[in-house]
Amino acid sequence: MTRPRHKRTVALAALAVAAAVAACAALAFGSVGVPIGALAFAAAHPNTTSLAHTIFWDLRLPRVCIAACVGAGLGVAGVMLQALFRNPLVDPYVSGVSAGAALAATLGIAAGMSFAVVPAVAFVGGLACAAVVAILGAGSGATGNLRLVLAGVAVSALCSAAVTLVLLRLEPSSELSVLSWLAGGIGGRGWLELRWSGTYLAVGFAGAATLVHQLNALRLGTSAAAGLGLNVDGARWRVLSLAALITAACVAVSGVVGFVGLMVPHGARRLVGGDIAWLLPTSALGGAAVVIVADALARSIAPPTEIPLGVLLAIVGVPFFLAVARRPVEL
Amino acid sequence: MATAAVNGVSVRYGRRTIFTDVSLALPPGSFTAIVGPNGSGKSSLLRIIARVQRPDAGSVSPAEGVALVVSTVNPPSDVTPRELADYGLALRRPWWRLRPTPGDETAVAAALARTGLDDRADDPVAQLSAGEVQRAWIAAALATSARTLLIDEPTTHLDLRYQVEILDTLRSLTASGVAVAAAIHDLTLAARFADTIALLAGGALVSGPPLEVLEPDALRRAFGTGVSVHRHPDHGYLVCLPR
Repeated sequence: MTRPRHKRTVALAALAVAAAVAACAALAFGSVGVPIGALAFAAAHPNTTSLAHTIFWDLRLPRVCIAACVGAGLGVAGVMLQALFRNPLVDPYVSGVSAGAALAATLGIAAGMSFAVVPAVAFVGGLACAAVVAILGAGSGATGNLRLVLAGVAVSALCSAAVTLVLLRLEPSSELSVLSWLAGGIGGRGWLELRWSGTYLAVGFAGAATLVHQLNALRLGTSAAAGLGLNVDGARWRVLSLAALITAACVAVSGVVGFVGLMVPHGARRLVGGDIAWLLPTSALGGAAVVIVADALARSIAPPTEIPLGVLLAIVGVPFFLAVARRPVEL
Repeated sequence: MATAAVNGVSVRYGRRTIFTDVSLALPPGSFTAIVGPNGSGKSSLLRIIARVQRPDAGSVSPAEGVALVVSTVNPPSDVTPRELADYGLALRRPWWRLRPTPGDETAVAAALARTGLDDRADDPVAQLSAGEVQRAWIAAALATSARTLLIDEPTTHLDLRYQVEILDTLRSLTASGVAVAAAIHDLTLAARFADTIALLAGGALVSGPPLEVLEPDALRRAFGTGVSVHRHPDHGYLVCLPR
């Protein structure tokens, strides 16, 4: 059903409040118990030095910001690709980005690169793989995207095989590093990672905002959109490259965090309907809230051990995925 | 007003030649029914006129004001005819103008009125009949100020009442100068509503008034089965039946 405008505005505002509350809670609680008063003091006085200051400014705040960015990015990329493929079961990783990033990161770790460099390598690997998928899948014209999906599946399978091959030949310690990166998580990331992945995300989000009309037309199917005057090939390239950029920026900083790009767009759609102009901001806020909460749980459930974020989200995500597959879903 | 036309166009898929050297003009206010057997290239011809597909040879004119209605896919069920009618216009707005301009709203309202959807404009398509959904697609094309409307199989999956309703709608548009070209399978309906029949078969196109083109020998060659053609005793239009 089409939602009245004021209801959608209320839903969007409520989601913004929820994300803000989640962020405050994630800043206030963690594996190390710090009085909230001390955290609030540290937050208000950035130039002091104390344990609370370190925990707030150097550990929790960048982490919450990264979680928000990753969640928003995966939510937006999910909306874009589901509209392009007209398939509610598509997630941002169909573009081949995660497989490429995983392979590049695995090779980087295997080659002994420092962890500061791995995200950058993963970013380049993810984009390169997405480009290969796009080139292999090109030429579908206005007739559909099947070739693109097949190319994504095939290239991802090849990359996964290569990752397994490399893993089998690694030292146990490096193997553990690779596995923990593949499992997804934001532990140990800081302002540096946030700065550059945030920059790419900002570019991606700005680009996505310019594609609202084209994405809405693509929801009608490529043939119908072409009939109404959309240059389908051009739009497909723009959507795919921006979604790949956004996803690569996410994967590089957080590893492979599954299901957010699949679940969040569906939840957002139930709140505000299928109009992309509403769906993009709703999905961004929803994704940010989900990953902030999940990351806070991942580091607080069993301290000092962190549950990998990807694992935690998959535990919630798989039942959701099955439910989606069983029920009729609208785009 | 420009006439949409193709001149000497050819289409090949791989080694298979679909048609060669086909020319067709769609003057303002005309209703052309494109008929022919499956695989003869009716949809390809429409896509070429709409410039959605490039021909392997030949030329297409003009570039503006041509819309192709592809109604075989259902729009998302939460979309209303008013929203659907704005989707084509939205593609022509700057990206930051998310809402329709006053001019766009007028164009959408006019398109909905011309397709008889004014009172269903804000109902989601899930609540509309198949014929109304079809008309909503046509409204989306009209809202873009299309002067040439191309529509692929407008009567498929519709019962007789909605078939007549859609063809009546298309016919009424020609009165305001819109050129309509529709790929239609039912020869009798084509003859009843169109002023020009374009018979696409065996890689070539023959076009003209129904009486000239829908001729038993030509139809037998085109479809590979005998067709008898009669004039309706009261109304005078052609009735085509398999032998």
